[in-house]
Amino acid sequence: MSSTLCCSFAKNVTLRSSDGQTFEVEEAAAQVSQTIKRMIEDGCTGSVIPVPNLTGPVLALVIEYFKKHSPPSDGCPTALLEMEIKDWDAKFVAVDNDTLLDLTLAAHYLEIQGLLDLTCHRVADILNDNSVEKIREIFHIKNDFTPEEEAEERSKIQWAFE
Amino acid sequence: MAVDWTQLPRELLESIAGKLTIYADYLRFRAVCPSWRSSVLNIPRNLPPQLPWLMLPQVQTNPFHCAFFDLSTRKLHNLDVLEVTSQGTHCCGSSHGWLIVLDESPAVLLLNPLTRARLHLPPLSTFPNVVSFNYSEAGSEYALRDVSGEIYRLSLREMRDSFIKKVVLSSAPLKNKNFIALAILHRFNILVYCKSGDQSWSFVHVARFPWEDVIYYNDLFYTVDKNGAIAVCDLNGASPTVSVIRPPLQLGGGLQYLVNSGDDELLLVTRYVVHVDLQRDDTDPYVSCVFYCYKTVRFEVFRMNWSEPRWERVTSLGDRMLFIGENTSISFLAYDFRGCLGNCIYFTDDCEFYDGIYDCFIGDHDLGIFKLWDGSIEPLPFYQRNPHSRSYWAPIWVTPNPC
Repeated sequence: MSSTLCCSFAKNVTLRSSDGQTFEVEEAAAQVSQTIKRMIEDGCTGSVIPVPNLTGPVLALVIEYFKKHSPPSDGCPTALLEMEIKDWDAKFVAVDNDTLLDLTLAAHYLEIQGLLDLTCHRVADILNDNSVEKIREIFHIKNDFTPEEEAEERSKIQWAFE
Repeated sequence: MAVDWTQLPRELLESIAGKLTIYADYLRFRAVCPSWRSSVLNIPRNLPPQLPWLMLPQVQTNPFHCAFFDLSTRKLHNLDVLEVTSQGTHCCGSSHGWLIVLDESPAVLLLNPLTRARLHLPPLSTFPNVVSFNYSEAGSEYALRDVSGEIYRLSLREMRDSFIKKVVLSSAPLKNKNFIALAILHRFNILVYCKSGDQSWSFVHVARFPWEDVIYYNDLFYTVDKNGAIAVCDLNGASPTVSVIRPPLQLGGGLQYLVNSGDDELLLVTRYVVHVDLQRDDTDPYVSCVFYCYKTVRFEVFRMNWSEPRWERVTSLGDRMLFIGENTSISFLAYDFRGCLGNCIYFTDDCEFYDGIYDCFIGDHDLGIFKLWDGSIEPLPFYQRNPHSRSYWAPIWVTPNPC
């Protein structure tokens, strides 16, 4: 038990969002982000770590992800734990498309590979089997193709649009 | 954040597109807006093998079109493939998304129906058992030498329909420029091959078996005979090297197919076919004028135990589905595709018994879905039988492949 005890004095860091909200989180958990990991290694831990590309609500969500994905103290995740995390992940990205976009960009900016895979998968799942028109509608995308471009593109691969 | 979905960084759009596993979804992704299109390649880089489509012989309203049935989406796609739809052609294989097409000329065409890319393998006149070819000898244009040295003659049409049993490619020809094609010939079921750039075909010399099927597996060609013996052909060097593996005999006398299980196991699929007398089938009013000549009644599956070596009976394929027929055999997990059943064999007709009489055959094609768990056979739901005239070729599985 003594070894567990000595590890329980976890070190915390403070993260500050673009709109000035601050969040305290365990350093080990925050290092799920490669960007934050580098900042800690570069000696930014003494003060608050700025995360200027994320608003408070998005940073709060990302911190939830950090907590779930921080390395377990005994270092060996069980199969059961992995299953539980997988379920949790699926629920975590079952969000509205604006939040999904925010999370995708946050994962990219903070270099969180697991979250990036998760959000990109979620977007791909939404795209699957949907028509081009439906995809534009879902993601509020304006069609910037000229009618000629669009017709030309489709004429070559008409089968994919039937 | 003031960023919308069209302004995602290029690498993010690439990551999203990289998660799409169905080629049609990838094409639609590119068609959403200019920024999405410009951020990903024309041809996807790491697309997994696609579920095969069933190329259907039904005559379309547009004579240039051929219909391909997508098992997963249950949609028919019409592709413009005049090379196959014109009368007088015969597909003697489908490998990595490319059809091997013969017509009444010596040309051996490779055609990708999806991209319309084409290239030619050396012509029929360059096969090692063809002694001469002459257009002026109408009706017996080819002179061939059989294994005993005797000369026999075949017409253009006979060469098209009954010379080649199946062609298998080592890879898609535009993906790997050093691809190899291996063909099983009908008469005596011998093996011939050519490599890209070759001007002619060459024998693979093996102590003679009637070879039944071939697949490319771990950089080697594996071919199987009626009794389950295997010849492993290494065609990578300057001349072929062959080793023959003779596991204990398989009983039964069915047609043999080889399949890579996808878990790196070599499977042997034995197809049992019964002859049906040419008589009216009055049980089905829709096809009351159809005459059946043969039909598949069951399958058995074995896996190779290399340590013995021995074929071991497999009673379940788990979630796997196997696609066999005139195509290069292929297997998939049903889990990866909507609307598909695992533990099944999806089979098409490769006209084993009727070589040479392709044009005058009456009856329906022998295709369906065999379910391993109860041994039943279900018709392919989307295949419309044509009771009035048998088409000149049977449906064939083709894997859509953009490269």
